Amino acid sequence: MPKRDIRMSDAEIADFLSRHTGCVFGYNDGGPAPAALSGTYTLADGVLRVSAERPGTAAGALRADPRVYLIVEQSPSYYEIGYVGIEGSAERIQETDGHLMFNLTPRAVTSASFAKLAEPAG
Amino acid sequence: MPLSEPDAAFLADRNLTFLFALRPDGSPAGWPMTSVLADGALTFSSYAKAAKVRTCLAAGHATALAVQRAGEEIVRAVCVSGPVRLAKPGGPALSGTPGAIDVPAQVRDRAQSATAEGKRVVLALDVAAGAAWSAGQAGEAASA
Repeated sequence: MPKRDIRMSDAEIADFLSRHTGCVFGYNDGGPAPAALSGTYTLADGVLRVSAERPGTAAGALRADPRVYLIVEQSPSYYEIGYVGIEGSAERIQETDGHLMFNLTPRAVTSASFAKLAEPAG
Repeated sequence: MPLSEPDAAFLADRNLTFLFALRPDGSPAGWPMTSVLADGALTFSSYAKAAKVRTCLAAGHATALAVQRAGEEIVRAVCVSGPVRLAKPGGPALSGTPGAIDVPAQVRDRAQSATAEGKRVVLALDVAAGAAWSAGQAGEAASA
């Protein structure tokens, strides 16, 4: 049986991102595995403004290596599972009072929508 | 430092967990998964050919951010990093079912058949180093 294509369209990705605010992201802090934080985002003109609290040394790590992988996910039920993974570089990195903010322009986007599994094959 | 008891208890549940690993060029990659703690490792079930499996095994190390949400807000989180390897199938990660989600029986059956055929494997992330960070143990909101 051929594998179903459950990727979202560009319009579906934009709609998905507009309906959420929470995210997690990973970045390279020089260790053998990425560091990871949770945060929130806003989306304007195709750019995500990402915010995280208690970021530890993340700002310094992102200035050294700005590559980020950010995930927005939902899973209220099996056929509502969906996620968008965004690969990009952190820009305009700011840290104020233990609060990290940066801009992320998507360079590559991965997505999945399990709702497509419930649609008739064709 | 080993996992604290509250963090170990949280990871023992089937949780939504974001798995991250570095690609060979040092860029991070990530995937939403379901995890469960078994025999001192956080375990994940997936297809052997999946990018997440190949990337994690090539890197040899991974980071897992297990979360519990209330709406958009993350109310509990535990982040662990460590060596990652293939584990012998048969553990609790086998079903591949998200914890709070009712997985259709045919999906569960297909996953179990794929495991029996060796198409699905179990990734095991060693959590002996304890949590890199955790939040929300006592009603405190995590950073989301």
